[in-house]
Amino acid sequence: MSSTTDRPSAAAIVVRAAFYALAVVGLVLYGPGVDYTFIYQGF
Amino acid sequence: MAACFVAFAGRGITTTHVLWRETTFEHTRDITRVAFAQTYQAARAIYAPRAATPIVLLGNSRIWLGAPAPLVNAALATRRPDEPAAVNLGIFGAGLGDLEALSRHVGRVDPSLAVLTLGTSDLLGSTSTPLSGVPARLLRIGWDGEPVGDASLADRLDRWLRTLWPLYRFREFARAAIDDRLVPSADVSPLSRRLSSPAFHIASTRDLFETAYGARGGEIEAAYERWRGHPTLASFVAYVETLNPSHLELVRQRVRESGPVDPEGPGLRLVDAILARLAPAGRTVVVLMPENPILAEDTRQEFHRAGYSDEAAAEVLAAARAHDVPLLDARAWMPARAFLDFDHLLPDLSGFQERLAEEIVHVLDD
Repeated sequence: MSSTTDRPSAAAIVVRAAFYALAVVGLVLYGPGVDYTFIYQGF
Repeated sequence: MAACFVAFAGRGITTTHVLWRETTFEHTRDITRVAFAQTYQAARAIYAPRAATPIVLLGNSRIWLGAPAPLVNAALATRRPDEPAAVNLGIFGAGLGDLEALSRHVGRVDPSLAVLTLGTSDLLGSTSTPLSGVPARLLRIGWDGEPVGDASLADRLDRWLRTLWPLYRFREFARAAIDDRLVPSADVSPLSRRLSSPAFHIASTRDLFETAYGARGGEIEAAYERWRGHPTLASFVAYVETLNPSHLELVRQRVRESGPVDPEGPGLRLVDAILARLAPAGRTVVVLMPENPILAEDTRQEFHRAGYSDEAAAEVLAAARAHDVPLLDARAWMPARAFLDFDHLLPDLSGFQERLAEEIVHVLDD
């Protein structure tokens, strides 16, 4: 089997990149963030 | 290619209505999330697209309640119809460290006037009046370190990443906004909701108390009427006890924590840092917010420390002069009947927005 047939298709590359991007965006948005709970007693 | 997708998604979230369209969570009644919600509103006022360069009001609950943007804008419109709109960036519980973090963003809107509002007790930097909290953590950006406090390496990395990458900077807000689009919050504060309307108006104290405190409104109104009938410190304290006992405890604790004003203390260093950033960028004014004159009756110094306010005001004035920034000393502007409690003015009913608008016009004309 030649090496060219092992190369992933353009569509597969795009899908894989989209998957990685989604993982990164998901991790940024839903990963750990600062604790923003705070009770203001003054009002 | 994955990096391009991430950048594209980030831009699609942080520069559009996905993040900045009005949400229900920003009007939350959940007391633990109010500071977060108001920090989000402040960020939106800066980062959402807008037509004119605004007048920005920076401060905490004193300015949030005392000068809601719809009222200031109406008062400005009667004096200078061509004046750009004011935006109120007040955040409950915001200390001077929080305002310093917020000031790092203000240049983005190139304000025609930045109004830094503070109470003299904001200089304390104590347990009752912390300098930094939720807004500083959420809004930290910039390559310069914080003027007060030694940030950990993790905090510095967080600040640098927030500076470089908007999606990371706004990740807490974006998560809350996306969740809100999917499942809107049902626990909405009627007062906050009304404040977002350009036609905001409070008809009476009963209207205010019933809007802000719901079923307790009638009881609070009765206590308020008793105070107005017998306007003494004792009856005012009894009214505030009905309104919010935690406020009284906070004020008492503040007195216990207040000592002589330190000119080199962290509070004044933060005022200096804020003015160093705002003043070169454009017109800036400092406003010392009104103080309740009923404190003159507090001879036992239960709710204030005699002399502290004047000492603090003198130091703030010196800091303002050092940056060639005018200071409006509004501490004695309002009568006791204009106050909701020891710190806060009655929104709309106090009329503070009229006096503030008048002074803003004077500053802009100078």
